Parts: sequence; C-alpha cells; structure tokens
Amino acid sequence: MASRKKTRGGRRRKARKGRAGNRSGWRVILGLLVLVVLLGGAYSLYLAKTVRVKFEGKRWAVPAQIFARPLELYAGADVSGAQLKEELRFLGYREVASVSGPAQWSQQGGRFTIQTREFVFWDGAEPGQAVVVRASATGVDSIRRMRDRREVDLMRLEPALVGSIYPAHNEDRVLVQRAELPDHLVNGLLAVEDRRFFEHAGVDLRSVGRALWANLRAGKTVQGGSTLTQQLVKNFILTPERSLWRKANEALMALIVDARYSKDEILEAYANEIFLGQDGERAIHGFGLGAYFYFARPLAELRLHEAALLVALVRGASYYNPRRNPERALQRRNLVIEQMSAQGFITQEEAAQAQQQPLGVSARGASLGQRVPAFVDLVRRQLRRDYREEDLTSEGLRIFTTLDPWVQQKAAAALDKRLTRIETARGLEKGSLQGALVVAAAQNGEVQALVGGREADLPGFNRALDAIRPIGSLIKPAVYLTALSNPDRYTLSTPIEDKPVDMKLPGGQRWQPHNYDRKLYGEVALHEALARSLNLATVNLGLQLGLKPVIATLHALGVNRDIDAFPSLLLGALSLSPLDVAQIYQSLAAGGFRSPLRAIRAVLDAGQQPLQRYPLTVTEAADPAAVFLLNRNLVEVAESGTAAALRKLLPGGLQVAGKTGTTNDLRDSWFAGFSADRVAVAWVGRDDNAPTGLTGAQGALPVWADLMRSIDNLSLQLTPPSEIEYHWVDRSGRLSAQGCEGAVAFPYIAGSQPAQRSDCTDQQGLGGFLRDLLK
Amino acid sequence: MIAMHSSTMPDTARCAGRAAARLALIGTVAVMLSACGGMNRSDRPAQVEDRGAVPAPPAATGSDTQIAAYTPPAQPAYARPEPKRAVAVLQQRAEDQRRSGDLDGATVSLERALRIAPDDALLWHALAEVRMTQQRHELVVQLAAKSNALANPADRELRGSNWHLIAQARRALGDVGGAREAERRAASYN
Repeated sequence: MASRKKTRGGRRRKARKGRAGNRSGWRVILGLLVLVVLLGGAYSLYLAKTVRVKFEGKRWAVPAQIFARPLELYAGADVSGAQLKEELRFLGYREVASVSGPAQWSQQGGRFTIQTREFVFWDGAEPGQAVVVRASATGVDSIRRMRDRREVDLMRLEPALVGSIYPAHNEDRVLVQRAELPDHLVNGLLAVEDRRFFEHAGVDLRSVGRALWANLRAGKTVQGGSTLTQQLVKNFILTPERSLWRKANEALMALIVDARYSKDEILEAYANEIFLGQDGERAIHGFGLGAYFYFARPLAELRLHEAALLVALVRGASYYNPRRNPERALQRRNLVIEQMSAQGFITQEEAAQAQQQPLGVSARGASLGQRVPAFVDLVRRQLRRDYREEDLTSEGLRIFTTLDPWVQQKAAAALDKRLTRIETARGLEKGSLQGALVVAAAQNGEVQALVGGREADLPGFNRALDAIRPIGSLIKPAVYLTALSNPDRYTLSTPIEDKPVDMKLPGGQRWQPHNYDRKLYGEVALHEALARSLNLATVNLGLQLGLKPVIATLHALGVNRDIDAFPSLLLGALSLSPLDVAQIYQSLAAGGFRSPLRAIRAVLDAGQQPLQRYPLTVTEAADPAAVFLLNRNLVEVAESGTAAALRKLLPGGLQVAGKTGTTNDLRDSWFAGFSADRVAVAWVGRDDNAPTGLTGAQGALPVWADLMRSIDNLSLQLTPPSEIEYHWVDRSGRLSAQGCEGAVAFPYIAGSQPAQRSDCTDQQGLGGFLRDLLK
Repeated sequence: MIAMHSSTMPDTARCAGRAAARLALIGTVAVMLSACGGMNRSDRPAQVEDRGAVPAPPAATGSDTQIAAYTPPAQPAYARPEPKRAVAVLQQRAEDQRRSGDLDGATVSLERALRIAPDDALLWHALAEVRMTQQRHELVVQLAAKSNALANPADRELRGSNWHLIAQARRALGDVGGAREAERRAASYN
C-alpha cells in the first residue's frame, strides 16, 4: 500500500513542478523532482505508519465492560413480578403484545412470556429461549419452556451492562464487529454520509460536488462532502484544527487507509470510533455504546427509526442530542429515513411508518449505564490488585460482578428519600445530610449494592469506601463476642457492673465516659448491657477482658486497619468505612465465618475465555457457638433494645439482628445488621463532620429499615451449634425451671450455665405440673 | 440437637412421639399440646414475639434441668417455595463435572447453588470435597467447619464426613495433632 501511495503523491507533485516550466536546468529539475518524490514518498511512508499505528493500535483499545450479576430464575426464586419487570427493563427488553424474537416480553397478570438473549458466561453459554414465568408478589412459582411446555428447573437472564473502565481520556465504547452492524445503520450511513463508499478510493470528488449542490439547493447542510473514510481519519487521527493543510493531509490519509484496509474494516473502525454524545465526563464513542446509551439495548436489536437516529447524530451529537433537543433530533432522523427511501434502501411505506415513530430514547439511567459509580469504583479497586490499569482500559475484558441492580436501586432510593424526610421533619437544611449504604450477601460476602452518597448516580466522593468515621457503639459486639468466647467467665446472663469509669490516660488526661442517658444501672446482665448499649457496663467489661483480645477479635472479624489500644476503643473510637463495618458484620451474619467482601465473580478476556475467578472462601473468625450467643443478643437489640424502632419499620415476622451506633455530639449515625440472607450497613452524617443531631436509631436505622423493607429478606433463623444448650434462668441469673416466675430460657455453651439454683424447682409452676402428668 | 439429649429425633417428632405414648395415660389431646409448649407450627409466631430477653422457645424435657430447644422463627410473610430443584440440578451438574475431572466447573456450579441455598450444609460439604481433590487443604478445613456449623445436629453422617475431611486436610497440612483430634471427632459420629 505504501508504495502505491508514494507514486500517487509523487505524480501530483511532479505535475505541479512541471507547470512551473523551467526548461533551462533540466538536470536541476530532475534532481528536484527526485528530491520531491523522495520527500513525498518519505512523508507518505510516515503517514502510512501513523495510519497503521493509530488504526490498528487504537481500534482495539476497548474499555473493560462491567456486568451486574445475572438474574437467576427458578421455581422458588425470590423474584416478584414487579422485580422481574424492572430487571427486563434494565436489560432493554421490549414489552410487546406477542413475543416474536429475542429480548422481548409480554405480560398477562402474573404470567410473563419472555424470550431471552443468549449469552456467554464464565461457565459456559446460556442459550436464548422463550419461557413462560409465573411470578407472584413473593416470588417465582413456575417456569415453562414455550416450545414444549416443559418445566425449566433453572435459568438465568444475561447480566445487565452497568459500566466500563474507560481510559483517562474518557472515551468509552462497546466494541462491535462489522457483521454486527445492522443493515439499516449501514444503509443510513451510506444514504446521508457517503453514497459511493463502496466505490471510491477513500476520497470522492463527485460526492463533494454533489453535496455542495444538494446543500445549495436545500439552503442548509443536508449532505457532507467527506467520505466515511475521511471522517474516520478526521476523528481518528487528526486534531480538530481547520486548515487547507489539514484537509490535504486528511485526504491523503484517507487514500492510504482505503488502500491499506478493506471497506469492511474501515466501516467497522468508523462504527466504533464515531462520537455520538457526551455523558458528563464520559465521551460516547461508537454505535455499540451509542445503542446502550440512547436505547438501553444492544445495537443488533435497534429498529429502523432507532438506527436512523444514531446516523442522524453523526452530523452533530450535541446539536441533535435527542434528550436535549428532541425536535431537532426528530427532524434530522426523519431526513435520514427520507434519504434512505429516496435511494431505494427502504420502501416508502417503511419510511413513512418509521417516521411516525417517536424518538424512543430511554430515560437516562434506564440501563444503569454509568449509574452505579460507587460500585464500579469498588470493582476498579479490587481489580487493581490483579490487573494493570492499561489492560483494564484497552483489553476489552468482561468483568462479571456481584452487583444486584434491583437491590442497588432500592438502596439508592432508601438513602435519599429517608434523608429528605429527616431533613424536612427536623427543619434541617436541604441536602445537608449525607450517607452511605453497603449491602452484601450474608453467607458468601458478595457485595450486592453500594451507595456512596445521596446522588448515587453521580460520580463523586464515595462515602461507602472513603468516609472513614468513628464507629461508636457498632464496636460493642466485638467486645461482647470477646467475652462470650470465654464461656468459663462470661455468658449472656453474667452480671456486669454498670458503674462509673474514671481513668487517667497515658497523656495525663482523665477519661470519664458516661451512659447515653447519663444514668447508672448498677449490676446488669451481660445481654442487657448490649441490648441497651450501656457504655459504662461495656467499658468495665472491656477493661476486664483487656484491650488486646478485643483488638484481636476485631482483626479476626475482618478489620484490616491498625487499631490503637486506647480504652476509648471500647466505645468505638475506631474509624472505619461503611465497607469495613460491613465486613465485620458479615462475619457475624455468617455465624462466625468470614468471607472477604467481593465485588467480582469472574473476568473473561475479549475472546470470552476465563482469565480469573474470584472464588468463595470462608475463614472461621470466631467460635460459632460464641457468635450464636452474640447474634441472639443482637436479635434482642432489634426486638427490644436500642433498635426496637425497627419493629415498627420492618414487616411483621421478619427477624433481624443489628446494632446502632452514635458518635460524639451526634456526628455519625450508624446502623449495621443482618437478616438470614443479607447484611447491610448504613451511615448517615455530614461531609463537614458537623453534628447531625441524629442518633444511630434516628438516622441510619430508618434508612436501613427502608432498604430492608423494600427488598426481599429471609427472616433470621439462627441455628445453634451443637455445643449450645438452653437452660431456664431466673432474673438473678440462677438456674430455675420453666414455669417459675420470671424464668427465661437462655442459650449457653455447654457447661457454662450458672451453677447456682433458685428456690423454684422443677416441681413448681404449671410447666412442672404438666410434666409430672406426662412422666 | 442439644448435647444433653441422647435422642437424635427432631424435637417436634420426639415431643409428639413421647406425648403419643402417654396419650393413653392422660387421655386428652389438649394436655399433650400444652405440654409440647407451642411446638406446632401455628404457635411459632407467638414465640418470636416473646420479647422477654434472649428469644428462646421453651421445650419440655424430662431431665432435672430444663432445656429449651431451638425453634426457628416463623416465616409467615416471607414464605417461598424451596428452591430444591434448582439446587438439585446444580448439585448434579457439579457431581458430573467432578467425575469428569472438571473441578473448576464443579466449584462454579456449587458456588452458584450456594447463592441459591446458602445455608445448605450438604452443598458446603460438597464444595469442601471438590477443594480436597484440588488440594486446597486450608480451605477444606474451613468449608467443612462451615458445613458442620450449618448441619442438622441429627445428621451424624454429614458431621462425621466433615470431620473426616478436616482430618485429611490437616494431615496434608502437617498438623498431625489436629488431624488426630479431627479423626477422634469423626469416629464419635460412627
């Protein structure tokens, strides 16, 4: 190719020189000619190399794609009809009257007919299939295949594309291949941008003339003179300065490109390079991403009028922005359709019908797109341990994450709505409160949702990861778990002294903590001290235990930061991020088995080959029997302790465990807790760290409850490990019997039950009477 | 379930059985029901509501110490059909993959099943077995312990198998003492 170019360039220059007409020194002329040919050739070679480097290098710089978790469907799945509809919307499935192709669905009451797209997962391909799903308010009742009415035991929808990791110059694209370009799109491009694309050699003088004529007649620009190749070169290679020199260069390079590459290769590069819009800092490049950005679905599924709109945007993505300037966009789109019809690509009927269609552009955020910046941030940080940044932005990796788009949406809504309510109710300045939410699967630590602030769809300070705040009473479970891990010394009914603390700290300062209500409670049972979050009882307990074992417990539960051994640690003078806290409570929720919080399941390369999996691991962080006791205690917190407000906010029958946290002067409001299947942490505070006036129970707790109420949760069912026994104990902590006054059944690690007996024996009370009868 | 009980019958069954045996003596069903202290399903919500202290449902035993058995809380608002078939499909797939030597595939299938049924002790055990074949011994110890923590106390076979796995893995890790201890515990379930 380079050689062909050389002769062309050389010829042109030779002709020009010839017209100069100096006959005297033909040797000089010949010498000059040789020089010009050489220079022109060298320059052409240089351009050809530039073209090759840019064309072949940049063409494949594809950002990593980030996918949400796939929705698993099976009889018994906790997917309600409402959720199913929303999930189909995330995926850009079309609701139709009668399903006739992939990515379509219809609904009659609780009966959904869905034809799925096929998709390649890290563990193989999931075929596209048409199914009938019956879903109620609580979940999926049955799934049958359309074809033969057979029951489908298990299937999954393809995961939603939720973001990408694009390079520093902020170009994002979803790569498409030539074969994936819909005919309507190619025809539209040919019709309005470059009719003779398949005939010309990269530059088309005739089209320049015709475009000029057409534009003159129309009185405005309806056609461009540049070929697609020239446009590609312009977008692709050159800076946007306007000059004759640049025009000439552009034409020269277009010729080089045309000679060097096939028409299909050029079309493919064009389709992936073309600028189609701006999304904040992110530049939307290529029709592949354009289809997602404007229609929330893959390019291949676009209909005529939608493809025509993308073609319309080629002429000016900002000027014809369909979201900002819908009228203009519609006019331009219809012009594209008209041209397609005029040139015989489509019939007049097809054109008329397509022109009747509305723009059909999805609402921003319909496809999530870049709407989960906080989660993508977490994915990026976790990936950075294993991949170089340039691989992430250029290698076209496919990253399968744990994000649950449904939970994410509910979490973002819960945080913003509740904070707005609190601000209104308390007369606080609008937008002064900020917050963060983390939701993870209780047993395996998969992060399902991450909300980094109230404007969850905007990038910015990611509070879920970067708001490192004192955790207050959220630390107390670690203190009590340390105690309960010593069953010889501590049980749930062990009396603890809630008495004043007055310590001299190493710096000479005195430390005199007090209870939240500034009262003293004297001797209280251990479980009661935690349920009521008594500071003094906790400090006394912690000082008995020593700070070192408490710190060891915190590290075992998953705290990776350094922890200072000050007594105030016992009241939460430890700064952690909401994600750090979620790790602690995940260990508790999983019965003492810590699973590192993960945002990624697997990474595939551009060729769909698995590169890496992030497998499920567990580590026994604490004695499961002690964790069981603690969790019973945390249920008590939620039922009748400091988090009793949950009872009014959560659906009846949903048992959860949790802990409130409040820091000095009400600066941070925390709640961390779990159901059987999810662990969640909410933080509420202000970015300037000023007091909010909110305790944990007043700020974070209702956010947490709103979230848990709006998603499906299994009620907490704590399975006692085999070492656990129940014993009846009276109010003073002595062994008693069922039916005795005030007797309550407490779980104990075998052998740790109280030795002292009460006066009330087995023979007394109604229970004893009945048992006598039964003996 | 509770260490002091020698019987391995689930509580409800034991209670019903024992009560039935005494039925002739007492002659009234009403007494049996009250003696079983809310063991029937419809009574469970009331117990969950009981907020004295640590919620714990009472159960009658004949020994001199009163021990309340654990009863899971009711699931009225959150009842769903159990995803048994989906889990069974994945379990079978994992087994097929394991037999054909596709250990990574088996792991993926079991992890997928665990997302559906995270408290299924058998799945955790199956995952531990695959990891054993892969010689991920430290992970095996943890996975088997997790399985044991979730296992039905009456499922002696599963508990025994888990301890066997732990013993094998510890031996491979060079922890001879720990392996012996695990073997001893495994034997106690024979």
